This record gives sequence, C-alpha cells and structure tokens, in this order.
Amino acid sequence: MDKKSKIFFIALTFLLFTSIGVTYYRYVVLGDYTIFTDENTIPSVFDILKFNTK
Amino acid sequence: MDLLSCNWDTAKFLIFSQNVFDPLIYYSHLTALVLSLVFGFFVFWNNRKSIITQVLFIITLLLSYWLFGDLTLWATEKSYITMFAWSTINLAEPFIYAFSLYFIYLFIDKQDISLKKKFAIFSPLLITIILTPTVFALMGFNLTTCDRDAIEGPLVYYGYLLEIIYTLWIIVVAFSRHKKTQNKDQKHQISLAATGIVLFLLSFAFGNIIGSLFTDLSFLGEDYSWTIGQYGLFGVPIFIGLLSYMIVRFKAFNIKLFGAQALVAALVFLVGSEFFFVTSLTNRVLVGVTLVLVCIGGYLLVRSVKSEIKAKESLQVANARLQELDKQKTEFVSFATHQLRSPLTSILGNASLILEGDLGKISEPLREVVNTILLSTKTQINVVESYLNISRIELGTMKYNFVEIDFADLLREIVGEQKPTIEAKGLKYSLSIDENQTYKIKADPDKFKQVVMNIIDNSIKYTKEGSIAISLEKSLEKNVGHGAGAVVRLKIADTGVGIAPAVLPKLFQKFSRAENANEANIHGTGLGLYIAKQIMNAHGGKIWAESAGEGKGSQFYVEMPAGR
Repeated sequence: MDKKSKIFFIALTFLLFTSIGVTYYRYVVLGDYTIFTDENTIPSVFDILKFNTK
Repeated sequence: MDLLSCNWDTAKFLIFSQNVFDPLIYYSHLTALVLSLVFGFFVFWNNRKSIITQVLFIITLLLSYWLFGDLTLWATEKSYITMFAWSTINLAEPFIYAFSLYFIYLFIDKQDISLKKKFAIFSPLLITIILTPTVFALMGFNLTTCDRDAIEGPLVYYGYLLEIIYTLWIIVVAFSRHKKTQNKDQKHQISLAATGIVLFLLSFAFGNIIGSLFTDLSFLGEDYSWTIGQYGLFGVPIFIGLLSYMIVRFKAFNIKLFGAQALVAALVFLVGSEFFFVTSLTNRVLVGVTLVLVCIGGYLLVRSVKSEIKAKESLQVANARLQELDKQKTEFVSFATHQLRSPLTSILGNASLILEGDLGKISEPLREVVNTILLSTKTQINVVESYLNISRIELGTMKYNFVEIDFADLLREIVGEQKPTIEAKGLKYSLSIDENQTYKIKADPDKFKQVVMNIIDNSIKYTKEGSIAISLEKSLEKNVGHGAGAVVRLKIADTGVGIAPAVLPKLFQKFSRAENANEANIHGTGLGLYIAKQIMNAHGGKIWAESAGEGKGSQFYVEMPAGR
C-alpha cells in the first residue's frame, strides 16, 4: 500500500474512533439522550428542531 | 413507565441475560462471532503483509464487533449501553460493506486499487462517522414497550442507501471482470467470491432493514420487527463457508498452516480450561506443565509446517520458471531449425542437379561423393523437420487441413515409393487390401502420410532380413476416439529386431529409443514415433506397437475412424 493510502486510512481510523469516543461520552458518560415513556410523544418524522439534549 | 417497572434481568458479561427474545437463535450467533474472529485472526496471522488478508481481518473484526454489539444491546438492562451499542453497530455496518467492496477488488484484480477509488469507496462514510454521535443517528430510547428499542434517526436510512450502493457496486465489478477475463478458473473464482459476498451482505442487511422499516410486525402473531433481524446473521456462516471453500478449492490461503494453528490453539484452550476444574496445587502444577509442553510442541509443529510450506512455495516458483524456460527453449529450437532448413534445402537441390547431370557430366568418384552429400542432407533435413514439428506441437501452432482421403490409395502410393528401398535391402514385402471395402477417412493428407511413411520406413530400417507384411482392413466392431463405429486399421508386421517389453510403453515418448535401435539405424532421433502419436491424437485416431520381444519382429498399428 502506498504512503498516501496509508495516511488516508490512518485519518479514517482516527475519525472513526473519535466518533465512537464522542458517542461513548454522550451516551455513557453524560447520559445525554431522550427516554420516551409515552408512545404519543415518539416522533414519527425526524425534526432536528424538536430535539433538545439535556 | 420507568426503567424499574420493566423488570429487566441484570446482564452478565454484557451479553448473558433473560432479556433476549429468542435465546436459542440469539446465542447461536456467538458461534458466528467466535468463528469469524478466529478465522480472521488466523488468516491475518499467516500473512500479515498481504493487503487482502488485512482487509479480510478488518471485515471479520467489524463483523465480530457488530455481533457483540447486537448481543449486548438486547441483553443489557442499561439504556445507555443500548444507545451506545446501537449507534456504533450502525456505524460499523456500512464499513463492513465498504471493506467487502474493497476485498472484492483485491481478490479479483490481485492488486491494490488507486487512492482515487479508495476515496470514492470510503468518503461517503464520513457523513456516517460525523453524525453517529448526534440525534441524526438515534432520536432516543423507547421505554413504552419495555423492549429496549432505540428510535432510529435518518442516518440509518443513509446507511442502508450506502449498503445498497456498495452491494450493487460489487455486482457491477464482478460482472465486468467476469466478462473481461478469458481464464475459466478465474471466472469461477469471481462468480464464487461475488455470489458469496453478495449473499452474505444481503442476508445481513435483510434483517436490519426489516427491523428499521417495520416497527410493528405484530400481524405475524408477535412483534417480530427486530427479532427477525437475528436470522439475517446466518449470513455470517455463508461468508465463512465461502472463504473455507475458496481455501480448499483455490488454495486462496494456506490450509495446512491454518489447520496446524487451529489444532494447537484448540489444544492450548482445552488444556488451559483444565485450570478451572482442578483444585489441588499438585494438579494445578501438572496442568501447568502440560500446558507449557503443549505450547512448546505446538510452536514446533507450526514452525515445521511453515518451513514445509515455504519449501513447497519455492518449488512452485522454480517450476513456473522452468516452464517458462522450456517454452523459450522450444521457441529457440523452432527459430534455429527454420534457419537451418533453408541452406540444407539449397544443398539438396544443388546436389540433385549435379547427380542428374544438369551441370555436365561428372566422374564416378565425384558422383559417389555428391551422392553421400545428398543422402546426408536428406537425413539432416528429416531431423530438422522433426524438430520443427516438435516445436509446432509444443507451441500449439501445428495446423491441420482435414479432408476426405482414400487410405488405400495413400497406402499404395507410399508402398510404391518405398518399394525400391525395400528391394534394395533384399527384403520381401506384401500388401494386402480387401478391394471390396472402401477406406475413406478424414485426415490431413501430408501429415497422415508422414505417420504411415514413418512406420513403414522404421520397419525397413529395423529389419535386416526377412519380410514386411502390410495390410489394411475395415472393422465395424471397434471404437476409436470418443465415438463408436467403423474403423480403418493399418497393420505393418516385420521380422526385424523387435522391441523389448520394457521399451514398449515408452516407445512413443519424446527421445525414446530402444537399446538395440542403434544396431540397425544410427540416424534415429527418437522423435519420429512421438510426432506420429501427436499427429494421430490430433486426428482422433490411434497408433500402437506390439512385439513378442527382441529379435522376434514387431507389429505397428494405425487406426482411424472410417469416414461416413
């Protein structure tokens, strides 16, 4: 594999693990997600403006 | 409803709990996980420098993570673990497809793809990477049914779109490469690899897409929406099965080394597990010593298999090189003999002119000298012609012009040409042809004549005294080549030097000459009968010899399917 490809994959891996790390931090450390306890409040259509994290 | 009112079981080691819907189906995927991880690891360990094994290893790692994450998110009672596992397996999923596409390119083309292509394959995943920690991936946790479902955002549909694109891409690449290649084995490999990978990816995607698109499948009796996804994981054994088949069929990876390492690993695992059952110190020491011995023995076994494989590989390389050299040699012989034939033909022509008196009267001693030149040149031309024929046969450039000919007419012509030589040697001869039969055959007149001439000529050369009996018959009972039907058979029986039983099976091989052959004919090259056999094979006929032994004469047969 050439050097540029190696750099490309290293960058991709770095971004992948960063994403996993941020996901872990958000859900496991901060517990930053909505728990829906009422069926009527579960959104059927995605609307970014409706979602506020704590 | 709150988390406590769901009465969830506490998961052990993240994946073992009563929370799962269908434990048998669910935990059967542990086998797939272990299988895929062990397989990927062994293949990678055997050839760490090869990109294809690195990519395969990454696929199995991602797959194993996906399987583990899927087990975790259903077994856990903690909503944050479900959220994390759900997000990250949705992140891993399109990566499995992208690496599968990369794998197909590497497997078919046997070389790495360009950076541009890599960028085209992997850059769409940047959106998935960036949005995975956001609400675009998961909108929240659904506690309304106590099923521990995450509510998926639009990113999951983007992921499915990518998966469809990657799968179609694989199909297109496989089709185009399959169409391009002329090699049958390569075509088979492409079909197999592409079918296996596509089946694996489709079965893998099937369950997840159903789960994501149909949140309620209660009309099936129960809510199967996510449970059905578990069946999709049966695609993993398909993938592993395909790779195993490729290992055996195409030796894509080294099965022997793989087997040895798997055996050693299983032994170490088995002996190591004894530690959990023994309680006394003495037993622990014994198990420990056994484990060390198994490790040493296993290491030595794997090392010896490795060195054996290395030796085999270097032999294969040497063999390929030898084949290449052999081809070059044949081409050189072909070229050299072509160059030799022209001056020889010129010498033969000029010697004939001198002998026939076209250049004036010549003295008797000079006639003898020129006659010797003529005979030697004729012999030399025959030798050169033989080498040329061999080259053509080996290079596959021998051309045949099949037409219908009368074998009887051809035989009479040859015997007529040979009659002076037979009589000059003081031999008796007989020609027997049943005039009531027809002897039409499909043959190349020149090459077929060469075969018949060769064996009659041999009979004359190797018979010092006695007779040569030539007969032609038609039989309706024998089979020739692939079909059944009438055959025309020529038999040439002589009272010559005969052939020893040990020599008979090798008689039609290249450069094969009987030990007593030089007593009768010193000019033989050992190529005539080999060429005759090759020509007869191309005609769909047969040629063989029989002899009672040395000094007991021999019989040569030429058999051809009769023309209709």
